[in-house]
Amino acid sequence: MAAGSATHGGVAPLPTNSLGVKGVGEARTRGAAPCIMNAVVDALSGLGVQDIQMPASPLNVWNAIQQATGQQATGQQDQATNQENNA
Amino acid sequence: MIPAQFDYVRAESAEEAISLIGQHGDEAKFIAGGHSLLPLMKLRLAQPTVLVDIGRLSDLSYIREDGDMIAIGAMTRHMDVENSPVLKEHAPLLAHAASHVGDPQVRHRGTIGGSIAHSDSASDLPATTLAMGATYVAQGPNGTREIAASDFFQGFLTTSLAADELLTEIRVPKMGGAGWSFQKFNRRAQDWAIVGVAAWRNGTESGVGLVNMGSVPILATGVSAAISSGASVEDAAAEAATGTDPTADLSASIEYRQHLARILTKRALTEATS
Repeated sequence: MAAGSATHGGVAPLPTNSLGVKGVGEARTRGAAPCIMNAVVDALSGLGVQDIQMPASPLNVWNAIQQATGQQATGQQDQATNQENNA
Repeated sequence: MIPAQFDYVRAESAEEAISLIGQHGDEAKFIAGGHSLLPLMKLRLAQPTVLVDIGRLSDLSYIREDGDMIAIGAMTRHMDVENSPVLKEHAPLLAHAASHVGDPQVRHRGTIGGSIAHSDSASDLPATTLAMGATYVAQGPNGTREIAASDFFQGFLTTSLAADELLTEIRVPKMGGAGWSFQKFNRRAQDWAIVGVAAWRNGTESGVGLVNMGSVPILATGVSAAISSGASVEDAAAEAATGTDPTADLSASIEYRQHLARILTKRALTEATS
């Protein structure tokens, strides 16, 4: 450490989530999922799709299109989505 | 994941295998490559008390021309079906479909006879041979008989084979100049099809088999009827899911499976027509 410098500690809760926590370690990988999901929603936006739950499985994408276009949808999502919703 | 206790006997000939299965009654099962039966036994969905191993019956492993048919021994491994020059020339749809079964390990052990006798509607070869108008040869204590594929699949994992009959040969017609296509929709290459379609077309003649669209492999007769009456590929493919009753699972709902059947049939007929 260079002469004349000092290290100070402090607590600054993150205001954007209820626990105030910040990601560490591989936190930056977390951007990948919303990035891809936003791209999927963007690709389907012309059909009126505004939101889609992960994962973007063929069934979930098809259901999103069916619901947005007012056609018969199945109301069924695959298991990973259900687990996420229940968490 | 450990099977229930069972006895094991190895047959040295088809006749001996049939005799052994007769001695041990309804609780005995033939085992060939073991790639369908053993997983069921490990899950204890099947609990045969005796396994009659036909794995050494190498005289049931062959592919040969027989007039306007190709005869395939029941013990022929998927890898040999996939790579057969005879099938590539005369029945390329079947050779290609075999290349989609499982992964290389499965294709080196699993047999065409085992796949068809197991009759899982989600397997590729039952629906493919059904679409091709295949005939299956069964050998029992009183001789052999031929069973049309369209009469063979009776229900979920149930065939018209008697308990003491051994499937010995699969006979498929030579395809001549027919166009063909095999469409398999799945999320991982080695998986069973979420939905699959095997199709061939020669002018107004066609055959379309559906994989995993019900408890048995399905012949899409409505599609072929539309083709023979001069309908477009689009209009014919719209009939693909008519009358089907597929199951819903984690990968697909009933409605999505029916959608896939129509889309994959359209792709298959387009490829087979071009």
